[in-house]
Amino acid sequence: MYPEDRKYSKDHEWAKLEGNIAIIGITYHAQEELGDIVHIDLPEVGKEVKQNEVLAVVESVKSASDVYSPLSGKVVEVNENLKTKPELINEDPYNAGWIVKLELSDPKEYESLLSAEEYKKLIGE
Amino acid sequence: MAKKLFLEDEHVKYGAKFFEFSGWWMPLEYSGTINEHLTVRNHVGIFDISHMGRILLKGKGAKDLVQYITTNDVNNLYPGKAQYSLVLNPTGTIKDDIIVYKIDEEEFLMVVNAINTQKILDWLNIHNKFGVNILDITTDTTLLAIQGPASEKTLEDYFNLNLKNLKYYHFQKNHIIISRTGYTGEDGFEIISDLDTGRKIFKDLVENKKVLPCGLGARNTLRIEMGYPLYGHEIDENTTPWEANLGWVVKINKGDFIGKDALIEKKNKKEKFLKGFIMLENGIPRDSYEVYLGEEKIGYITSGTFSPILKTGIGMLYTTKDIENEIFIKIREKFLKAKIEKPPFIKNTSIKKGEK
Repeated sequence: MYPEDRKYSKDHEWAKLEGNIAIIGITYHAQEELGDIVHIDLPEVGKEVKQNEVLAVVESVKSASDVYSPLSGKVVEVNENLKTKPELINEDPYNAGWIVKLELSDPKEYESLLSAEEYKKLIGE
Repeated sequence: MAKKLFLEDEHVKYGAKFFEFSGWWMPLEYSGTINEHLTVRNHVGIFDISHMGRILLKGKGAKDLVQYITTNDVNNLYPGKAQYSLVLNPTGTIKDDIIVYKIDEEEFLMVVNAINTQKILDWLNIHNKFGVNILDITTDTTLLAIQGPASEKTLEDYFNLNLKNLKYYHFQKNHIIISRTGYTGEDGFEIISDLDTGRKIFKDLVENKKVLPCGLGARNTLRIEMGYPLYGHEIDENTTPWEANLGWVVKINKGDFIGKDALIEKKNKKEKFLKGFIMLENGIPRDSYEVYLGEEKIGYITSGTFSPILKTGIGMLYTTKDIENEIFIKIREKFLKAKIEKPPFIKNTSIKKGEK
């Protein structure tokens, strides 16, 4: 449920590095807690975000939840498929359900994130 | 601390996620709200709604007390018939919306909203000049709702009963009460029984009859698709029946009842208008979001959700103007287009239409 090829934030996002680009999504645990996801507000490509700032909003049937950026950087791509199929986040949170790609402005921040092991401890699994 | 359902261990067994609602620790969803919603629209699901208050009124004056405290006409009831009704304040605003069951000439049952159970009990006791025996049987019984187009066949098979002749808003009573009622817009039944029988019915239906356990999440999306009001949202103590489009439950000529004079006075004086709406742009409307006509703020949402059937946002709202226009819903600083539309948003469901 928590792949080891990426890192995790305390706010239940994951980040996977590809060079200086980080792919960002929410964790299996987060989508489980939210329930059926029916809408997502994605950021504009080109938007600059700082670590822990709101990056997107995911809406389940029951509530709207902020997605915080686990890293600082510029949005270089958003997952357009989520506009018509937000349920991809429930079905495949680590692959097809990715949310944005960030060009990192401070790659050192990545080290401050949690390992899969640490994240599992955080959520009590 | 939130009260627990008698069947909580069953809900845990079937994987319920819980949340606090009206002072009770309630199942929100089991297999997912959308799956549960679609199963009720297409097949059959079961809800444990034992949090709702059940109050028995016994004695010669029972009918007079119900007649005095509610807006509908109890003279239209006969044993085995139920009716939707309202309890009002003397100012004509709504204390609760309820269902009244006539069991016999001297025995009536009221099913009230969980959040209002104590309030209605107190209200009944204050106005009990008729010597009625008032009994709160909420925690001595269970209330299960079996809803969906396959509910009739499922219960006929299970109870070995003929339910075809049981009309909408009618009930059978032997050791349990089975009424053809519900709040989902689908054909369905509600069963009131003692605790052990309730457990047996729930277990048997879920395990052997494959009836899907459903939580309050789906109950909410189902009732919003039908435009049914919910206490604390579309109706409350600041709202008259006229404003909530519930004038059809008020029988103004039935005789004296609490709130009658105020209702007559307020009949053509609506301060707000209850409307249904459907989103024309992507976005999920939710309770208390602001509503705009052009740049003017004209109201707020009382219930909003994603409709699993229409696959768009729907809801209800109060406005200060009797509008029929295109409106805007403010969702996180964006103004998204919606249009006023009269509920139900879903037509041609399996509900057995008839008198209410």
